[in-house]
Amino acid sequence: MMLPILLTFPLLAAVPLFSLRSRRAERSVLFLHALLTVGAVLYWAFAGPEEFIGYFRADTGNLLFLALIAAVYLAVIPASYRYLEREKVSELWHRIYVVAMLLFVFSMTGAVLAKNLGLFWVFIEATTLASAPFIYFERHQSSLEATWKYVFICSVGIAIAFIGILFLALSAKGVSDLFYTDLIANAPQLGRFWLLFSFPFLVVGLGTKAGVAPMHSWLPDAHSEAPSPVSAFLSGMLLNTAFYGLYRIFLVMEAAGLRREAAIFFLVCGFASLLIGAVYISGATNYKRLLAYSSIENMGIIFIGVALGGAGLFAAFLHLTAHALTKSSLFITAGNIAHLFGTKEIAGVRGLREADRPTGALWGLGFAAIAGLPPFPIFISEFLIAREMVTQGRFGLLAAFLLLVTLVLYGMARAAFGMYLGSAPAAAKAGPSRPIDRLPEAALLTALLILGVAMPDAVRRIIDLATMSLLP
Amino acid sequence: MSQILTILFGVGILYLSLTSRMRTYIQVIALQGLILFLLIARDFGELDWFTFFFLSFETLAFKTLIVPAVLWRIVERTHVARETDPHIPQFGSVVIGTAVFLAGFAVTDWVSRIDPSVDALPFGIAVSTLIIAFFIILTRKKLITQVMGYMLMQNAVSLLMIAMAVELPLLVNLGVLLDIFTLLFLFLLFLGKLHSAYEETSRERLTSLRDQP
Repeated sequence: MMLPILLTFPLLAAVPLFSLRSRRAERSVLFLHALLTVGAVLYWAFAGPEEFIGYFRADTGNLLFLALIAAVYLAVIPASYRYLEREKVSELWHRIYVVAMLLFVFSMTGAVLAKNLGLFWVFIEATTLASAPFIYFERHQSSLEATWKYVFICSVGIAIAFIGILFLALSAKGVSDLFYTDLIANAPQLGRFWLLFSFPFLVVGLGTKAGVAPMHSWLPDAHSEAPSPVSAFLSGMLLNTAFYGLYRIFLVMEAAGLRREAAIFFLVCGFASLLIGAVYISGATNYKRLLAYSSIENMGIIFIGVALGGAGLFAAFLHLTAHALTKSSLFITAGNIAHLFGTKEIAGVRGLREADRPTGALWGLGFAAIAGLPPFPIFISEFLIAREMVTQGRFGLLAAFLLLVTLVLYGMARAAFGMYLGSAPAAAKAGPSRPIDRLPEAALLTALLILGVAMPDAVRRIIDLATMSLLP
Repeated sequence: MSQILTILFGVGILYLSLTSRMRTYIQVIALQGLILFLLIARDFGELDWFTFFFLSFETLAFKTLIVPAVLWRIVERTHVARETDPHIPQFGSVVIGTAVFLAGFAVTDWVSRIDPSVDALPFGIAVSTLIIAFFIILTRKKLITQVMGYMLMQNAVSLLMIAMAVELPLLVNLGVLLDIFTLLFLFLLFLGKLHSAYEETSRERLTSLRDQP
């Protein structure tokens, strides 16, 4: 019942918006869509799995991802309203923003709900098309450059992923089609050679959208140039959506007895991403780009957790949950800082606590959460990953992991404290915000604190079930 | 007949290593589209009419006519006649292109021993085309040449599908079409805008967002 409504609503709602030409109607549709997404997640959480036309399914395997889309969406909408108001966007670009947002969320939801790898690929492709207008939204030369890189690199990545799907289909020829459940059930009969051959293509291809090295170069540009509420979505959910498909292919490899080989690819990508993050965070001069490099680093940690397995798997999924919420809050706050100080340069922002207390507090707490300080859940996930490395006796990996995470902490702390402390320029003090305006960011951080201090059993169970998705 | 067509497909990509002229790139892309259509037409009896119609439309209308026509228009608008200053000189490109072509067949020889069901000739040419397309994307400075490299990559993927006789669901083919549509839509829009914003549409001009470690 909820599946067809959720999948058709954004498509049906987008069409009349072009004739209505009312900002209020556009915003109402967006809000209604977010409420519908939240309602659908609650419905599936209580009523159980649901299928639609044999190609879509909502179940415990994807509930975590759907819940994160809903949570981030709900936080992004008020932030989007504020952004659209203060930037005084034209009627046309207001409509483009709303329609692109509907289609972007639709494509991410479709990707997560798809039962078939081919269909997942189509939806991932659609996320590029739907999100490209956002990156060009501010129409600077740099936005144009970022859009070009985003579309081009992601399209190449998606083409590489398609080659991987071709090889995977060849390994499944006469045995299975591209439905995840069939692939898992028939995994022992899949052709090992082609399955192994397909995996690097899929990792590089879908890894491009997931923002992991070596195909990450679009990410800092796109995240820094997009409007901040959209950056929150790009970082908080788009990367997770691509990871979701990749994880399901990882499970196919595991079921086919190729876990060790798959884990090597994940480890290499994970550590490469962690290294890129550590190196570029230390040298970042733009705080939105700093957050973008942090996303690359965090996706790397998620890949490492999956590769390790055991407690690392739970840690990876806890990490992706925490990262989605933290980064969404931080990007929305970064947008507020950019508005307050009129710059995205780290050197141009001083005395945040003095200029606007709520924003300063959110920035400080957000930094603590993303840097993995206790009691935030990223501390728990990183600790669990480190402990799993000790349990497996992989001390070389542990040393590299701790060193890189420490470098990231140093780079983040240097930038965050520099912005937080000191004396604010007079212009920045002119217009402090109303605390109510900061409610979405604050709600996301509160959710993180609850997860870190006393994780509800229901959340623990949803994360556990997501790690076991598709397994009998 | 299909072997001659496949060889012609490969000769086209090899010829691109020799040339820097944009119009030649476009002609090769159109020729490859036509070859793909003829290879699909060969299987007319084995495909249902809907799949046949869809694939014919994709190859004949899109790859042979629309994509080259749009690329032609962009070249005319941006006045980019040739790739003047690639990262690797022309002679080096020829040597590398030929080596890649041979390497593609070495890979095919290895693969066809493991899986004899793979049609070696189109598989080898598809793999070589893929690598050369990557090479073009990485070594050419003009953005339009990179777009053409991407189109060549798409053609190689189509040939790969034919070589492996993989029957993917129609929706995945639809995705390929979406892929081409995305590029056409955005490249037409952004190449025009990039050209007016940067005067010269070279990758080296797109450096305002670069970071230092």
